[in-house]
Amino acid sequence: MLRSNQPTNQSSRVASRRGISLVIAQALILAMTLLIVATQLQVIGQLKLTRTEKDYEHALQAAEAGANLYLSQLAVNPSIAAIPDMSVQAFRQAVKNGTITVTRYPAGSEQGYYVGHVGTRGVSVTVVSYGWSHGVARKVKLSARVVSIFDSSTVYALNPSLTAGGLPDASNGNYSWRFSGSARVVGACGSLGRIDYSGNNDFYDGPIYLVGPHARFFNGVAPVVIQSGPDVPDGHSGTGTLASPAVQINPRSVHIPTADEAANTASGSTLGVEYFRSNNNNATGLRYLVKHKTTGAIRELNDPTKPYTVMSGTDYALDGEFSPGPSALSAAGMTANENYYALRAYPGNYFFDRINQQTSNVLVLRSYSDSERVSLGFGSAPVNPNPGMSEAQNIRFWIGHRSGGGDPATGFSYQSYMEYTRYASRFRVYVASSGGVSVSGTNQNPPPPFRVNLLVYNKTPAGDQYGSTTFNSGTYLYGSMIGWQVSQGGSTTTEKELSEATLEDVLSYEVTDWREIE
Amino acid sequence: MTPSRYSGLRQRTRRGFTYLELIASAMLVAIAGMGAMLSWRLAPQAVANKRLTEMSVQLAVSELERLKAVKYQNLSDTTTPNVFYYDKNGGALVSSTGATYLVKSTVLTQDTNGDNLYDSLDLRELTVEVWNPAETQRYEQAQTLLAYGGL
Repeated sequence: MLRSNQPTNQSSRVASRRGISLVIAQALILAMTLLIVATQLQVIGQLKLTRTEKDYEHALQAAEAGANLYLSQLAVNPSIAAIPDMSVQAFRQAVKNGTITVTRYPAGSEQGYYVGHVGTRGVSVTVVSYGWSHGVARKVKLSARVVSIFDSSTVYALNPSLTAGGLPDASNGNYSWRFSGSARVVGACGSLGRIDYSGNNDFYDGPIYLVGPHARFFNGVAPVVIQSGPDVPDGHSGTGTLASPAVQINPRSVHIPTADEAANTASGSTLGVEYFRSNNNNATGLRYLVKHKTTGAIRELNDPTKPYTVMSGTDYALDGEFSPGPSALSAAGMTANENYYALRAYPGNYFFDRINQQTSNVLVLRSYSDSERVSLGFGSAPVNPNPGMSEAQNIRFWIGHRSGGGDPATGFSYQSYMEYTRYASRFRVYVASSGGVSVSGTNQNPPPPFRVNLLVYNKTPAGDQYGSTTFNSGTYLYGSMIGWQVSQGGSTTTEKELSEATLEDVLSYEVTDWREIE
Repeated sequence: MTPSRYSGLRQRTRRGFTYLELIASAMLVAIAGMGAMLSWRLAPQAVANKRLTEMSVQLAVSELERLKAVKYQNLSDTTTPNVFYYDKNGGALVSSTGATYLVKSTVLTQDTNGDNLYDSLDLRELTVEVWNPAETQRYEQAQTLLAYGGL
């Protein structure tokens, strides 16, 4: 019985165990199912993460696109309002609230940017750009500083040297930049057309930019570029850095405004250089300097009881004014112990239809503000007589068209001196006249530098471009020269100097630093 | 009723219930098995997709950075796209042989200020696309702008 009963008890326990086994099996299956579901969720999560990472990259690209767009706008638009500097989280919230609209880039996509500058905009600017992609936001903050058109090259010649049919022209007169004699150039220089040179011409440091599709050397052969050094070439100081490569091909030109466009930017008008015919400092900012016959002391004629004006109201030709008659000088306060020495120009805007400076005529440029007088060692110098310009540092000559007849030529001589020599860019000459410009030098060693930024480039109403410049003898132009056609003869030298950062003649804003901000 | 007959009846009842349980369990096993099989197939596919996406983004970013490094003033506009091939690990190849990725990049100057002159005032648009070598499937497209002096 015990045995007969035992199977019954056993089968009962077995049945009981079978149930447990099933429960365990089901639990295991459930666990396995959960594991599978969890794995699937994990995989889906990973895929989502990958998509998010992709959106992070796209958001950064959008932020950078916005920053670049804004930099290009800053170069042409002086009056863009600042935006608030907010966190990424605040930006994301603002987009969701609709208080900020993201500019979609590419158009129609789910990504884009919001960009602007923060703080005060000056010669340097801080730009913040927010990128957006499918709800992911990133922010970059960058610093940029202004770059002038005169920083691009020592000499930048714009004539592409083409025939009327648009083909490369080999004729003698249709050059872009011509070297003759033993002329030389130091530093970066460029041309959009034909560069003529011979074996007697030297190119120092470089690079030589061949800009656009028509830039070329006359003989098709690039010159050898050598390194400058102390007094190599004559008058050069320091040792230059040889560019590598020495000749560089630039598919795109920098934007060079015409003299009229530069005038419009400076004045806010649409009259071009002509604006300055009636808005200038000709009457007040040009003064006579006299020199004591014995001591050699130089002083300015500025006795308030003996007022004078160098330029008469309707005379815009600065020629005879360089050598005034004795009676005019006596009336202005020159004594019998003094001789006429020079014409001094104070910071301001001056309009001329012609300048004819002979090599014996001295032009002194007072290129500093009243508040800089003491620190620069000119403590006893008179204040700037131009009204409201006591803090101005820059002297701007605007050469316009003659009212009647053809435009005459303008000439400068090497005897144009800056009292404060640090920045050649404080003296700029903008030439809208079609008469051309020449600069005469002297054969002394070291050659006296003519510190200037020259823009000799303009367009006729029909759109024809012009502006020729010729350097003669031993002219040493220190600064920058931009023109339609440039001819360097004799033993002339042109050397680049970086311009002082100002908001005039802005070429671009150059990024100096950038980082991502959370 | 003898105890043995009673217990046999109870056993049969219990056995019938266990069969249902077994059927249910078998179904569960089948579902779980199918899930496992799907997971088996999906997991490597997901990993492959993830790798394709990540590598494509990486190649696109790399090409954008390369173009930016050339600098605005030295970049030429492309009349036909630049084409590069890469293997599955992102290694550069000289031809399409063995390639997993085809990268196409273009540079286009936009006439930003509408003056019909293309110069430093105009933005350059850099576009990069990453495709399979047959160009039947695009994995990634990246696009940005570059200003003169920009980043």
